[in-house]
Amino acid sequence: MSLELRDVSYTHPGTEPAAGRLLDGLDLAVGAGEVTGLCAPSGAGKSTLLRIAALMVTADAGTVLINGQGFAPGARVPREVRRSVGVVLQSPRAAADPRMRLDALICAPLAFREGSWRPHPRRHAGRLAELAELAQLDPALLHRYPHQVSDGQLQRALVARALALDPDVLVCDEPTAQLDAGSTAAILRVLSDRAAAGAAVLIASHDTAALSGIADRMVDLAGINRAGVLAGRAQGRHAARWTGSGQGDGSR
Amino acid sequence: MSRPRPLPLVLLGLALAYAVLVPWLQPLDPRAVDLSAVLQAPSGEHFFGTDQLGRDVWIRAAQGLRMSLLLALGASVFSTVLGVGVGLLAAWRGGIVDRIAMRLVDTTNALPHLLLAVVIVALWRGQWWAIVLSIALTHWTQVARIVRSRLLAERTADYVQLARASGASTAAIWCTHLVPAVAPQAAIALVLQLPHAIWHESSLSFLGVGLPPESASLGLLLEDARGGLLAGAWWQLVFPAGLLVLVSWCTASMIDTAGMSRRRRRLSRFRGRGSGAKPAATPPAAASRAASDHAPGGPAILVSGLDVRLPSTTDPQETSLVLKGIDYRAEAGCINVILGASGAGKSLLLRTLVGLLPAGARFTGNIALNAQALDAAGLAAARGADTVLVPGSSGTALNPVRSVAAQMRQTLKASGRPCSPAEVLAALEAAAVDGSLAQRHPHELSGGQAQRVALALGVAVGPRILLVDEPTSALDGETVGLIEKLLRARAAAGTTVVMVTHDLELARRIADHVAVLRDGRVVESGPAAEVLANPAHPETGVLLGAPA
Repeated sequence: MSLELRDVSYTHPGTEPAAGRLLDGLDLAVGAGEVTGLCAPSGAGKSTLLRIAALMVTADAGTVLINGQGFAPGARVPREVRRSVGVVLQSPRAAADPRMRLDALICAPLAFREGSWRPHPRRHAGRLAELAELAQLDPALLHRYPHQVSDGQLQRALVARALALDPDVLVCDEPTAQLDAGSTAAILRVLSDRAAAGAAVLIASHDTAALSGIADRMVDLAGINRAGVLAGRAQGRHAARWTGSGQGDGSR
Repeated sequence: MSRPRPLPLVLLGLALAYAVLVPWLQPLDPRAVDLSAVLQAPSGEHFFGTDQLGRDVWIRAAQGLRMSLLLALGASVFSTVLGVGVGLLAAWRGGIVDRIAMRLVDTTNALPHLLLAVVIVALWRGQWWAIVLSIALTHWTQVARIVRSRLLAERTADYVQLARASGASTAAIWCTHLVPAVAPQAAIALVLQLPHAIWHESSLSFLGVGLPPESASLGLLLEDARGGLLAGAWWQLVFPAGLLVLVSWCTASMIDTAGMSRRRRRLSRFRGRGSGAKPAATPPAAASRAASDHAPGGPAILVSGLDVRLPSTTDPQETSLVLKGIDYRAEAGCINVILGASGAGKSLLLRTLVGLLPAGARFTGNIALNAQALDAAGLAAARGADTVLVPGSSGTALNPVRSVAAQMRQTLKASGRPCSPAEVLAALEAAAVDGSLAQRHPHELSGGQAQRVALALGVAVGPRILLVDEPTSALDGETVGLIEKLLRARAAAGTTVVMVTHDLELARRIADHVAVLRDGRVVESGPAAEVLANPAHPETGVLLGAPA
């Protein structure tokens, strides 16, 4: 039950080499039962880092270790390993299929694990009720479609979904950005309970005050990313070229 | 799929009954010739008259319609199956398979359809399956294109990525996410192909390369009518041609495609696309008016007795009351903050103010913006000019294929403002968007950057009322400060800012006026200092984290 990134580097596809890497030589380890908070200004690469940790995006170089099992870029990741990683993304709207009801969304991972091709909310009714209660989601909302609930309610459903398979590793990108203070506290408590049960939890959030309440350790992305300085300089050059005032930058 | 329209459905039903029942009740050998009753005008005996060989046009037209419909149905089903198959294969396998499939589509499109059809039919003269084949083989390409592009877009969606990350098998992802996304498109394609195939079959028969002349199809009847018309037998042309037009129109307008696109728009809007990210065409005058003549003093927004009903999820006929008797006022040139727990109805209130309620939702009560009472249409008309809403997750709704600068230029142009590169950059930087982001596309932005860009687009229109839903939810502290400064500056310039937020610290810092929503009701409102310091209602206390 651990998550580790070793020497991970990443460049946005299609970026000019001059613009530099987004992530460079990044090391990060989250142990069992530990909540690690990640903070950085927007645009620094938080979301990309989390997607790499969740094995959703392939890094250019480096290794992602889930429960000690390492995956180099391009390595095949067995489904069992993917199932041991729970993910919550930043925008609940983009992360929820608009054609699926909340109950189907939440119990989909359960059905997929059993080899079903479609979610079966009725078959998993018991677990569904448990998960809804865990994420403090009103059971009356389970029959609604995503466009019929608020952002905060949808995010709670997606947290419930991420917890459905009792993941060993939880990767959360701004899980509480859309929530009111009460729900934020509740969600963070659920996440820290998961850590207390032995999971490795990595959370990125700008709400450092709330996050530091449950995090065992806060990590500043700039402190572990060698690419920070370089990228800043390249951005300035971009701006100069756009305004047409870029004479003498000599980079072409 | 949405409900079909009643009139075309009824007419189509009648036409089908005619095509099936008449040949069955009045069997007539299509080859039977009665030279004693040649070219008789419509009468009680022959409703549609007779043709040059004395055959009853009423019965022949029914036989022809039946044949044409069967051939068209066969052709559209076959071409849709073929198109879906090729589209699926191209999107699924990608790479070389995709390239070959798409070049095949291009090649087929480059050939003249009728010519190709004529060649196929000429190889197997008078065979019905040759006609079906000839139509299907020339018309599968649009379906393949639609299916492929839809799938490619769906596959990169966050929810598909998330399903894969949670260990879903390929089959599960297809069944759960991709097929439901593509099926409605394929169904529409099928229905829209039907009338086209009817016409195509008629053209082939009219040209004499379709069915043998003694059998009956609408095209053959039209071909017969050519000779009869010279003898003044108008009925030979009018009735079959009328049927042809009627059936084509009915099939094409049977499904409410406008309704479908409305629904799609609604879905995408709820993913966050609103007026802020994409302002409607704005009259130039409205924008320039914004800065100059705002009435000082009076409330910019005055809402009284507002009820909003949403259609129930289970039964579209039933509605549930979501906002209950809202009374709300926002003073001009102030920052008005709305607080409340998730699901209290905050975002819905903002959407009501810009006339963006979900389909089927209704509101009653009075809404006045800038001392002008407006109905739903008026609210919608003011959107994008006088009022702008920047929805919560609007960062995800930026146009994915245009750069930040291009979108800002378009927004400025639409509101009649200067849009030179320098102006575009100034507008972006005024909203705390770093100039280095101007040339990026939305997928190259982080969540927080995209949200700032969306806000910048909304502010650039220069609205008198700026509604912002959770503008700081994905931003770090430093950027929140910048947004805060921006909103303050707008308010100082006379814009009425209404902000929904969960960030109490932010509310404390910038709110002039606070309203608290609970369960669709305004439970408390007043000057920020009062409400936040001495909450009168327990809900406010709960929100503020104080013991109630």
